[in-house]
Amino acid sequence: MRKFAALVKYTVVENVRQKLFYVLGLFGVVVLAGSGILSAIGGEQKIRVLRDLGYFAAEYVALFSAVLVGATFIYDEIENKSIYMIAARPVSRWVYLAGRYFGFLLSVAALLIFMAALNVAVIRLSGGGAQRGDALMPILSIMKMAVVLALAMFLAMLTTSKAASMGFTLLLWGLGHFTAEMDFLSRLAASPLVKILSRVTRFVVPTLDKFSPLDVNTLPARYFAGVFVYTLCYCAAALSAAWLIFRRKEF
Amino acid sequence: MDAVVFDSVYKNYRDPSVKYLFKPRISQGVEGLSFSVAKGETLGLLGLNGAGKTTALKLILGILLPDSGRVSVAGVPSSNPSVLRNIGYLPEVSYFHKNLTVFETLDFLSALSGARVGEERIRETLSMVGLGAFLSRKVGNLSKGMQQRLALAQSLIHDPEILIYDEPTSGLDPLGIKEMRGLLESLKKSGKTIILSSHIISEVEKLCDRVGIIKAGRLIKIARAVEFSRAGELENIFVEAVS
Repeated sequence: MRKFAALVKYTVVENVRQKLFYVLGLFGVVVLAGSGILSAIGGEQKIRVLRDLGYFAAEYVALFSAVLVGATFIYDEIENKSIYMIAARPVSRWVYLAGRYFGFLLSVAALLIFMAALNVAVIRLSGGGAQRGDALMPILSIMKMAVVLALAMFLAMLTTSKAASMGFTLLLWGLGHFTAEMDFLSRLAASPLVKILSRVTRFVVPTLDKFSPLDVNTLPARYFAGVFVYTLCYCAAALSAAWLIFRRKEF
Repeated sequence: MDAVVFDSVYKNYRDPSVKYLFKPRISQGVEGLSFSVAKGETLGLLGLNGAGKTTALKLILGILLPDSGRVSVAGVPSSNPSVLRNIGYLPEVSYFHKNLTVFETLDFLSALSGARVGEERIRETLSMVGLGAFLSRKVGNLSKGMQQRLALAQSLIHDPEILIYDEPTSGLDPLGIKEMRGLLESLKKSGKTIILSSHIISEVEKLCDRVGIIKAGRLIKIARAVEFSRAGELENIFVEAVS
């Protein structure tokens, strides 16, 4: 537990001291500040535009930081050989992966919470009221980033370059927002081979559209519980697959 | 019981220039390596670049796994991470996370060793390697020599019984080399088991109880340092053996 806690703690410390982390955060702040101007075109829907832009900025900033750290951190650690210092210690590969994963997740969650709080402040200053969704959307976004991080770490183990792991993560992230369409196309396919291929693809692609519901304020609690269980299952599967590759990796 | 045992160990490398998921195995790491190191003994491994010295050290740490044969540490296979509790490793070139401070780096790595190390122990170890005044300095702002001292500190922080040092004087200035030799001698006197690889023959000759010469992954000679001295200069024996 002490080893796991040290890995989580120092992954967060290392991440939050990265300049890129601040650049992404600053970008999000600029988008949020700019949303005040853009919301003017929304007329009566000004607060809704503000809120949507806020969600958008927070999610994309979190997405890029998640893809960057998830797909490149361990890869860099192996490339620049700093992993020797850790691999030469009695830390199982599973603890190492889990420690890094939760460290990444905490860093990204901190960024998301900061941006969500800023978004609420901008809405309040513009005369808007609080909504149930203001608290629920960041939670859904954190769960979504948990899935993206696990996927990025798995792909980082599978591919042989940083660009490839980042590219595939973003590709699957994009596809993950069209899973209903993928299911529909799979049902239409006549060829059994296409059906099998689409089912396999569907198993790998995360169902990310579930994390971005159209009206978060009216959804029942069981919907969130379902998304939570899905997040746990997907992350466990992706991290286990990453571990299966990583456990025999030589440096 | 011996501290470290190599029993007919073979290890091949995959060609890193072939960037596919399944890489063909082409280059030889070590071939039929068999030797043992007694508790409290100092063994020096000599060899040309690419001879297999670092491979042998990484096999002890479980960073590399043998294709065949067995490497064990105090009777436990090196693939079991628990053996690392009692090992301190100094790689030839040390890389750390640049955004952590010197103190944080040691706190992090000592926690991973499973040792309960307090602030006092960290300060004491850093003073021992001459970094006592740099606790709060970021690792990225340290010189190469200072990073090598930090690497030495991390190998000692959890007070291990076995020290695996790959080219320990690499990257150090003349004063650092002298201090390193003094430190290695005091570690030897304190009863630590030391396995080191080096290019510097005089260093190995002075410090080690036994010397092994590796050529193309094979251990071609291993004997007590005094036996090498009796037979002539170690340097001549080494040149003759590897040429």
